[in-house]
Amino acid sequence: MITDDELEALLHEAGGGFAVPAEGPAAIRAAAAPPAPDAPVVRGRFRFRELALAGTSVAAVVALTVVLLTSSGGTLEQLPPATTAGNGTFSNVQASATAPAPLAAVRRSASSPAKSAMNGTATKAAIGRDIIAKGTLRLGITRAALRRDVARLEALAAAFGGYVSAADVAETGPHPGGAIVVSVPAASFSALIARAEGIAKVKSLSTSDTDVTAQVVDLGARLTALVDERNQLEVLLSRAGRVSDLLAVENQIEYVQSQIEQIQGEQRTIAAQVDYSSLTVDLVVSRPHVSSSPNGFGHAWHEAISGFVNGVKALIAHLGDLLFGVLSFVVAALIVFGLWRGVWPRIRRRIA
Amino acid sequence: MKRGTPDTAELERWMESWYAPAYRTACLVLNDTTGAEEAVQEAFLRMWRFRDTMPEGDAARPWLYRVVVNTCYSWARKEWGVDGRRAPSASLDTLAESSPGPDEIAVVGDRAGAVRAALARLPEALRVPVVLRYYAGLSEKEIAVAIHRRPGTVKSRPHEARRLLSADAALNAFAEEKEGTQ
Repeated sequence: MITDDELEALLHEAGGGFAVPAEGPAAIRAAAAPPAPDAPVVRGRFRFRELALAGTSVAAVVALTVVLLTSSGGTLEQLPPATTAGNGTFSNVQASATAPAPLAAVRRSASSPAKSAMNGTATKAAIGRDIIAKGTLRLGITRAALRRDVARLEALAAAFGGYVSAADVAETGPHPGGAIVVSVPAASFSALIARAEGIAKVKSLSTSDTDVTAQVVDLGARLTALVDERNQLEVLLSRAGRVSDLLAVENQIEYVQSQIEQIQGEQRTIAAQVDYSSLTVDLVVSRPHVSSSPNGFGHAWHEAISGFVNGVKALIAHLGDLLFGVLSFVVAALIVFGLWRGVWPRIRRRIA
Repeated sequence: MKRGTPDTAELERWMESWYAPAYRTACLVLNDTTGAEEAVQEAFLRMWRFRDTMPEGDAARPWLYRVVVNTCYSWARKEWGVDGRRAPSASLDTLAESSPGPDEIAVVGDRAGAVRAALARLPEALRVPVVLRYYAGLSEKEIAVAIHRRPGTVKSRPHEARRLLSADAALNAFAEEKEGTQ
């Protein structure tokens, strides 16, 4: 068998026999060199930078307009119930909105991830990405209605073609209540939330979307590479002459196969999470209200503190909207100004 | 090598240091000088384009060979219309049978040619590691970085390649002859 040194010598001789092209480095230099500053500009066509600037500006203006419209729509419909009711707590907003239009009210008052989750299914379908959607819904219920509400959630899961993937509910004891995890096909996730909100008073709702497309692609690539490797090893196995070689190759195949199975398992797990979105429903049993300060002064003091806190909250909410509006206006004005100064003169010259 | 602003002198320094070994490595991998020249040119341009992400010090060498090997694969796929990583592999028997005999090689008088031919008959999964190991002088760890495989996988490949090459009678004869002359 050829030794390491012999093979090294042979390869060096073989490699050294290739004459290095003298013009190779020059070609690389030419390709890497930046274009000359006085290079003639192609007339009659926009340069890439101009097009990129214009495209970015248009996209920014469109995005800004959408954000502004969305923001103003939510604010106008959300704030009045909170302020007119004189009570800024989130649960009360839900309570006032539950009867006529529960889903609309909760959606507007939920955070941005919640909004994205509501639209998650459509987005995924539209852009073909793998997104895991999850949510947590806290429902305030009474002890008497606990069993009935659990049954309703189970019925909901079945109605949407899903299942209850976990449940931890205590009907008796000092802390009745619990949590149920309902998994349904991703396409039915929004509908499930809407229906679950109708079961009882919504205390809070949060949802999240996680884009796992990159992870899925990465796993697919790794799997392909491993399968290739296993195939090559199997070819080697068929050629192995000695028992020691056979064992070595078989060990390697076994190792690669275990990795393949591990990746396939991860793929299955992710696929299940993408296909089925899970909503964790916390069932919180409301305790009967016991006034800690039965006298009138205590009650008045409590009301005063509560009113002060609510006033500060409303002020902050309004200031946030105002600040966002001002910033959006400034950004839009800067973009329009930049377009006017940067692109319009060139267009005008070209037209002239 | 330095990170930072574009500097043509830096590209010159890279090419002075790396062009010849990279080109010859690509020649041995592809067994095609035109392809090697194009692949190495593309590799240097990629290095130049992504110079900010290039590792420094000793880590730069496997990085360079990784880029060169990748551009070789790309070139092979483009020109030969096959997956560069799945080149048809020669079995031990066919390798021995298809090898030119010692007499024929002696007539041609081209020992390097025989080595290149034997290399070309190796499956690509073995040819690239063996070139990187015995010609470019990379360690197993560096080869693993260069071909994007685990070190454990890389470890057996040069040995397997050596075993296949040893089945080539002409190559064996040359090896012994060369050993005798040294």
